[in-house]
Amino acid sequence: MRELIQAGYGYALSLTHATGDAEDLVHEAWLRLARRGQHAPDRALLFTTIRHLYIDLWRRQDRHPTVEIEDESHTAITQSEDQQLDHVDLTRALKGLRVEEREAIYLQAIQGYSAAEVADLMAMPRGSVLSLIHRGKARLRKILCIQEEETPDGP
Amino acid sequence: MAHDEVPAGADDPAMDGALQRHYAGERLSDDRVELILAEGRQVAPRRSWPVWMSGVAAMLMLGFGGLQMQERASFRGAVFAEVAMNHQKNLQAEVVATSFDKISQQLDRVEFDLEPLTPMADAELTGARYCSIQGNLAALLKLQINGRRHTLYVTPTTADLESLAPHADVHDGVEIRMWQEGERFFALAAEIDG
Repeated sequence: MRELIQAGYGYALSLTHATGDAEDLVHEAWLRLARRGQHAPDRALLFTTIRHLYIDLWRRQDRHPTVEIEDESHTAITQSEDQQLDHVDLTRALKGLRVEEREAIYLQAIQGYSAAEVADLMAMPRGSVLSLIHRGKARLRKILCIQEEETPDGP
Repeated sequence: MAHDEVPAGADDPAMDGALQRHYAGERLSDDRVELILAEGRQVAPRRSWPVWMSGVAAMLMLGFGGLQMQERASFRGAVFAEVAMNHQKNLQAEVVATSFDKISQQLDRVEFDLEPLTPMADAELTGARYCSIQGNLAALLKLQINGRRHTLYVTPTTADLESLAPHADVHDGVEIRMWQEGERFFALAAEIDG
């Protein structure tokens, strides 16, 4: 159950790209499911609930994230210094993606969902999902590359 | 679940590895997880049914299941027919505009967002008009995708419509795709040989 909530948090983070909003989102989704008697939901149900909540609460009300992801008061990064730099770069690069691209990439690369499974969850054709993943990763590579080029050379 | 069907350029093990490390570092604090679990346990389901009621419900479902399936199929057929017919009629737009915002401003009886979250690459809006789907007020948006005429319907989701999405089919030579986004129901129609 704890790992399921963590997975839900990761998914919520891929949608909101803000830690505070992602925490609220997974928390509210979990309680909404509990109110329906779903005290041990499966992953697909939790993700679907998070997605519907996100669409209803965040996008429909044009609510914008209020806590940037750099505020890591609720995160526990246990990586080396090199990996920490990698983490910061990726955080910035991911922010440059469209929500749908970030979401599709998260589901495919982190959760290991197939394109068809991502398509089911995102309610869109499989071809569109493949396109989102392709374009999103291309954009990530581009952003990371630009950041590297902009880094001033040392003496 | 396995990785599959990934297009060229998207299959990037190094990028995937970096993303996995990134998200592995983003975790809720243990305190917050415990709080969520504790609150979840305290929440009582909205409706608690006695055990015998479940048995009765199961029997009723068995009895009426077939009928409900027939009704749902019939409702789906009616929605597909209505969407296809409206698309083929191709009635003149009441509002001529090329952006969702402008159309929303002019279709002032519509109180829901018209723009789908689902990406619609290369879609060019040309106008819109009011219509209905099974008696519910809907917006009919006219658009061109790669030079092909499409009609997009948007209406608030009802329990009946919710049971249809997501679904895709062909009716009377019109290819129709239905999906739901939160509390909105969408249907996109285009003629197969259009």
